[in-house]
Parts: sequence; C-alpha cells; structure tokens
Amino acid sequence: MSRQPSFQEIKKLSLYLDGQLSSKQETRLEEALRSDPRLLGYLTELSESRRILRQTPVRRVPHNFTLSPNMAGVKPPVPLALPVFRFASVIAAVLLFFSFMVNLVGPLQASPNVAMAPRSAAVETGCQPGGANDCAANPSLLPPGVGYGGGQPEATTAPTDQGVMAIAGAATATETPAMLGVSSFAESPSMTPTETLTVTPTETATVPTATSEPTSEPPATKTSQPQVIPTTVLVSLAGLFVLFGVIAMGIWLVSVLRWRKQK
Amino acid sequence: MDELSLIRDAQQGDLEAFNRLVIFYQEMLFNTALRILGDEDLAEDATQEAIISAFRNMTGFRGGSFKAWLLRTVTNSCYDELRRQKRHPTIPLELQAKNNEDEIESPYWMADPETSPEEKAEAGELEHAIQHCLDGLPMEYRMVVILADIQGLDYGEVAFSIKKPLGTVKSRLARARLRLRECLQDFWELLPAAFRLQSEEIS
Repeated sequence: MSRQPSFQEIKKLSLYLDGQLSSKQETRLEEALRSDPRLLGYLTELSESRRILRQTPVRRVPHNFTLSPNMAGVKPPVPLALPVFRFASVIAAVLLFFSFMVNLVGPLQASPNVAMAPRSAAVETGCQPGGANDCAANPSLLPPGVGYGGGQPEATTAPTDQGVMAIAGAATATETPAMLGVSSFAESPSMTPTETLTVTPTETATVPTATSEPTSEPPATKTSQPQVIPTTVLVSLAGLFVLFGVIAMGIWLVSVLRWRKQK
Repeated sequence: MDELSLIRDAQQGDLEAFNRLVIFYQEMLFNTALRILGDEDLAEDATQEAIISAFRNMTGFRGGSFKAWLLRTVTNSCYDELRRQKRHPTIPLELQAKNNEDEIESPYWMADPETSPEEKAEAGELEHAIQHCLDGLPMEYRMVVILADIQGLDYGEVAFSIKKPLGTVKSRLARARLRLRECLQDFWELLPAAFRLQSEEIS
C-alpha cells in the first residue's frame, strides 16, 4: 500500500523533471519511483501538467509596442546658445518691466507733495510778484501758517478750497492747481515760489472755467509727464527682448528639425 | 540580430536599436503579462508600461540574460497593475461587447487566418483551461510557473526575474505544479483530443 507523497518528495519530482537533481539524488529517486507506483503517478501527472503549460497558445500582439520619441521621453539635444539667448531675453523683459514701472510710479509719487507747496503759497495769499501784494518783498502779507519757512499752524486760518480758488481767480490767475504744480515741477524742480507767480493772465484766459471745473484739460506743454528712464532705453530693451526671443526660438526650431531629420 | 550591440546602442539612447529589441521580444512580454493578469487590455497596458520603463532604465542592465531582465520589468509592471486594480476595481466593457453581434473589435477577429476552425476551438479550450487554473493560483506561484513552464526560463533566470532566491523558486514551482495538476485534472475530459489521449494512455 503506497502512501501520500510528502511535499519534499513532490519538490524532488519537480526538480527531477527539470533535471535539477544531482546524479546521486536522481538514482535514489528513480529507485523510489520503481517501488512506489503512486509516486510514479504523481510524476506522470506533473509531467503532463508541465507539457500542457508549455503548449499554451501564444497570442499575437494586438499592436506593436515600439516606442515613439514622445513615449520614450526623448528630447532633441539643446544647443549651448539656446539657454544663453533665452536668459538674455528674460533679462531684457524684466528690465523693460521695471523701467515701465519706474516711469509710471516715479512722477505720481513725487508730484503731489512737492508741486502743491508753491500753489498753496501763491494761491492762498493772492501774492502778486512785482505788485502791491508782493509776498517776497513783504512777508507780512502772508497769513499765519503760510509762508516761506515756518509760521503758525495752518489749520487756524486756512480757507476752504472754494475760497482759495476764488482768491486765486481774483488776484492772479485761474490756473488749476494741477497745472501749476505739474508744470512748475516739471520744468524746474528747484523753482522758488516767486517763479510760480509768473503765470500770466493770458494763460488764465485759456482756462476760464478752472475755478468751477478743476478737471479741464491743461495745455499740452504743461501735461507731459517727466520720464525717469528715457523712451529710447525702453524701446531698446523691448527690441532686445524680441530679438533674443526670436533668436532663441530660431535656434530651437533648427535643432528640432535637424534632430527629426536624423531620426 | 546582434543583441549585444543593439543593447549597447539602446543604452546610449538609440531608440531605433531599442525598438528592434522590442519587436523581437514583444510577443513574449505581452503573453507573459496576459497569463499573469488574465485580461488582454490590462496586459497591453502593462506591456507598454514595462517597455517604456525598460527604455528609461536601460543603463541599469548590467549583462546577463536580457530576456530575464525584460521579464522582470514586465512582472513588476503586472504587480503595479494588480495593485491598481485592487485600489480601483473596474468592470470591463468587453463583457457587454461580447454579446453584441456587430462588434468587430474583438480578439477573435484578429486571430490567425491560417488555423482551421477546429484548431481554433481546441486552442481556445486549452487556453481557457490553462488560464482558469492559473487564475486560481496565488500570485507568487503564478509568476514562477508562467516564467518557468510557459516562457521556458531556467531556475536562475526565474530567480532573477522575480528577485527571489533559487530555493524559493524551486519550492514555489513545485507547489504551483502540484496545484495545477489538481486543477487540470478537472479539465482532463474537456481538453483537446491530443492531450486527453496521451493522459489516458499514461494513466
């Protein structure tokens, strides 16, 4: 009566099938197979199973699995000049941006504080250079808190805006505050209050409604904003940005086309 | 085909050389994935991923059996696919498509035209029986028996492919064959005549 083979015996049968036993082990197993028909039956069945597995139908591939350059993540070699031009283009773009910002923000920050000082001095007092109300010659005409350097706090006698504009219109000119401030600052940043008063009545005639319409358009010569960075520099930077960008793109295109041609 | 020079070129990034190796091995890789996963679409994905991964890691091949190295990539890819399946189980649309008479995008449509209908039917039965028995095996046994008995790798190559010691391969293969023997016995009667007669003669 033969017994159920152990796993070790099954393992030996499996190795025997693949020729993995030593000659000594093989001889011993063959003796056991002769004396144990059940073990032989297992060997036969294992051999059959292996034979069937080896005849597993081979399926044809549904499509080729070859790789395209995209799938493989292959990229064309980058020429050395490409990053240089790309970097130069970026630098030009950054400089251009900051130049614009400086030109845009610089005058806005400077004009309100600096330019308004002469206006208040001239307008609020009604000073008239060379005339009876020449404040420079007679500082006592200035109200307390307004003057050319010091004085009492302005808040005590400061007139309202409408009052100021009325005085300005009656005494000297109806020039808008913005016009005065901007033009005087733009043309001569170091201009003294006396110079501010040189606005002639002719100019006031061009803006007759300035007191009631402070937003009216000033003459062109007086509205031009001061530029910290000249336009030529901006144009040059823009040109460099475009030029370097185009060169970089050209280099890249040529290298890609050459690489594809090789492929 | 000079495999060594193609491998060397592929290691230097030559996609053309690598694709020639792919054409030579793709059937083996696809069939291995198909037997492991039991699904053609999954096998297709796993094979493609394995091939992409193989190209990217070509420099990691340091000699030895290139076939075993490729099969290692495929088994890894199959493991990944199975893990993905466990996390996000899906119902294949094929089950619905098979009922549709007008469906032409099926594997049967792409079968070899030279085989007779009887041969096709027999091959289909045999394949079904084998796949059914393989699917019943635990993954670690399935891998070993597919690599050793279906793909014909030797023990060393199998050990390299599944990254396990030789002793483990021997044990797993014996257990897998034992289980397959039991499973295939249930199909003995249904197997094609050639196999049935031979088994009857032996018994």
